[in-house]
Amino acid sequence: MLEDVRDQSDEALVAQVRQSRDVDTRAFEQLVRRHQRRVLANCRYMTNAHHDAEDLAQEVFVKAYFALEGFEGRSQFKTWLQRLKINHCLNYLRRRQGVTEVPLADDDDGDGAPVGSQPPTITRELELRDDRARIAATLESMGDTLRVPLVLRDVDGLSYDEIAERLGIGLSAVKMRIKRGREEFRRVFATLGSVGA
Amino acid sequence: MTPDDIDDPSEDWGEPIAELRDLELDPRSDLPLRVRRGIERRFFARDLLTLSWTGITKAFMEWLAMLFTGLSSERKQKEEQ
Repeated sequence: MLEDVRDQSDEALVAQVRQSRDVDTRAFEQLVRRHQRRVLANCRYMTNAHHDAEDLAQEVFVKAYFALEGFEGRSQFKTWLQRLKINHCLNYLRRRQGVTEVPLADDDDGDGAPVGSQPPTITRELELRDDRARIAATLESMGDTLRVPLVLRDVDGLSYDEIAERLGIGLSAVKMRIKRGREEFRRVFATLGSVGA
Repeated sequence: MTPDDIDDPSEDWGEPIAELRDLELDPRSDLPLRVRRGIERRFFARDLLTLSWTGITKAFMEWLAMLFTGLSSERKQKEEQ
């Protein structure tokens, strides 16, 4: 049965989940296994929540399971899940906003100051030799104002219009933030590379 | 796709930006297991809610039946007197 599930497409698995949702969760577990790395990376880097990222990813999948009844199959499961994940992470950020006071939806472009940025420790320096770890450290060092639009654009591939709508800011502000976010990303990435070398 | 969706092709953002597209992270815990437990918890909470609601409704119906029985027997007694 497990072998069968592994070979099936997302759409076939979704159909299976909808047929036997109260009885068998193996099909859905396979969908989780297939998409967990991507969902987790997005939850982690969109929110910069080290400790909450796995909880957020879990909540996204549980939400997806119960929302699957409303999934009409007009888009791919992957795209549908991505939308769900973005909404969940943005809600988390909005809830957290009161605590960290990092504006997500102001029309001021923000200075992109790396709120919550951490200088690399010695153990971190060793890890930075790996490109992926450098990417992670770079994103972690960026403030919400620049990181969130950057992740939405370059990780999730959302259009500028969609990002503007979701963040509740103007189109020009979105473009500006993404441009500045990319610049900062490249700068920090290069700096960390010289640290790790 | 509108022109706004297209990045300026004259600007090369370099490899690290392009690599963001494939960003993945390995979970530390067994995420599918955590998800299954989360789903089971939600099912349990839903069942509990349904059960409590059924219990309350049944108790209310019993109380109503007792009330009507009481009232009708009281009326009968009065009529007999």
